[in-house]
Amino acid sequence: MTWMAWRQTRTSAFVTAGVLLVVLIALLITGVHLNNEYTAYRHCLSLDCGVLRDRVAGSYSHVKLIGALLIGGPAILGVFWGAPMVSRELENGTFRLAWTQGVSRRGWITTRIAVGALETVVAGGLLAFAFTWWSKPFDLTSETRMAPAIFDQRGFVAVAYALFALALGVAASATIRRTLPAMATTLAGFIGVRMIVQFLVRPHLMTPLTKISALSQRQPDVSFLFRPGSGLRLVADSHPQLPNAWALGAKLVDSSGHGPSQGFIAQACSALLHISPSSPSPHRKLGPPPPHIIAATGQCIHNVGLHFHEAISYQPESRFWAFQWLESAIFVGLAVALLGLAVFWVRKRIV
Amino acid sequence: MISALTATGLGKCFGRKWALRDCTVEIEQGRVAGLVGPNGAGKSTLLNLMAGLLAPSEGSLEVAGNRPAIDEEQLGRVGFLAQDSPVYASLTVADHLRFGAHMNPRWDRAFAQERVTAIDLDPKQRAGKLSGGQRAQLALTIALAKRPELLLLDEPVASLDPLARREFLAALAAYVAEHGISVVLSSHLVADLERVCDFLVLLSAARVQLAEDVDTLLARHRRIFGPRRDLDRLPSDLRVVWSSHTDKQTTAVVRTDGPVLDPAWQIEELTLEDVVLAYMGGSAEAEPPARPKLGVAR
Repeated sequence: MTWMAWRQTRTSAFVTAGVLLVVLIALLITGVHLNNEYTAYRHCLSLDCGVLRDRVAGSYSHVKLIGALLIGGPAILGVFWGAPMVSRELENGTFRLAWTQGVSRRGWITTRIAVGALETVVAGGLLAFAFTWWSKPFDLTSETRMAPAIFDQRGFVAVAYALFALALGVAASATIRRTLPAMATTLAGFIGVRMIVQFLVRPHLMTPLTKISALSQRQPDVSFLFRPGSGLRLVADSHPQLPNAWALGAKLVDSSGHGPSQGFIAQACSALLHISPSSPSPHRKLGPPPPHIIAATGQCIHNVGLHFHEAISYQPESRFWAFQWLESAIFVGLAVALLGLAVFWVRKRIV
Repeated sequence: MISALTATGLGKCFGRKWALRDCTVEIEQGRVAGLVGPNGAGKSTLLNLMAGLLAPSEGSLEVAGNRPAIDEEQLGRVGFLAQDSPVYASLTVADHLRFGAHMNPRWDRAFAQERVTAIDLDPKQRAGKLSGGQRAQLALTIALAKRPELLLLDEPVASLDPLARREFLAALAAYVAEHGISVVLSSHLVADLERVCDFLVLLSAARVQLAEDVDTLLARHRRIFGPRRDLDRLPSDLRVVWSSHTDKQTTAVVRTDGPVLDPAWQIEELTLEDVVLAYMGGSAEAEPPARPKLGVAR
């Protein structure tokens, strides 16, 4: 059966291997050069080190797009390897040939899954490893490995995505029994689960840390929100930046953890409040705000900053590998459950 | 003695529709059984149940002494050639033989090679480019080379032209004569079965109408015709399978264990096809109550 499972995936495996080979060679050649540039920056003793650093950070922006393979590759794999696995046999009638030989259905489906999973792990592992190595100079100079779009392209988590996509494809294939709907379901399901995990689950995989900082006047961490009727509101920076961390959000808190009340803001920012209703200029030309508004804003931030701090919750870069393991465990766990469903369905439900 | 097929009260429904119901049949080992019936009568359903591709909705079923597809040994004992002979279109003939060899513990490599050469298949040819007849022969080769004790063939010749049909059945008959395996094959054409079968199962409207040895079947059925008269007055040992009346004449197909003795009837022997058509005519009349039995005064 192993021979047959290999024979049936041979063509797509060769195509994948060909693409992978080209990508690996490109990564190797550019990666060596990139590492040399980085080494030059590390050993820089002059005052112009920033230039070298920017050179590393700004190079090979096209090759960087290979990382998209780690985002999109698993979906392609689930759709084109997983989703046809059972349904194509059902559609072509060849299941009547395959399932009446001297191999049980359980043996047939588990072998096909095992061969597919092995090919997935080998191809995904090679690509993920190579790209992680290639990206290291960027991670050390300009990028945060914890940031959402970067995290997915580093380490081994993409291999777990790929296994999950494959399992989702096979499960859809067995239960839906038609290839095209199974492909569509796989794509939608994969994107859906990835989004849910990335935006709703990953931020809470470990309790976020909090960084308290004083409100600064130079880089306003607060924005102002006028609401007709409810007066002035202060909103902490919704996209805070922290070096070497994935900042999740920020809010204003006092020493006991509470936010500013309406009354406090009205008092602290009375100057701003008095300006705002009298200057409703919707067609104001873009440009720096008038001086009296800048002054009133500075006053407001100063007054608020006397009692309140900005609290940024974040996941530090030191948790990178822990997050890789946790998120991989989630996707591999889902994959195992889906494969169990697929095996059960092929054995018992397709009659 | 292990039977090739033992079905008891076997039924299979898809949703609410019964494709096969109340099927109780026994076929001895070594028989070549033909499964006939109109399209949709349940032939494919019965064969797929026997191959283990379908699970029964009710009743029990044993093929070659065990439940279908219960384990790999049982799967190896039963060869199945599905309707339209499915093969992997992108795989070559040689790939299919390798497939058979990897999938079956008792695979007869030499036999498979020999047969492919004998039927003139190019091993490098992709199966998707074979003609219907060649595809059927390839699929039969796979089914035979696994050395089955029981061979199931679902409409194996339906899509073949008359020549390919004859070649296929000749190859099958030759193999069966040599190896003495049990065979169940279905067809909606009785003429195909007449050449190779010694047992007949007639399915119609999801039920078994008839399951009998072909010789017995032929010996027990007669066509009778004579001046028009009421068939209710036939002796009780004659069962009317089918009848038709014109103004002057009555014709009937009857089943009887003995000879038809009434001299008013003219009697004809029947071919297998005649018998099958009589049953498929659907006019299997209800048995009338107590009719006098006609005897011979000695």
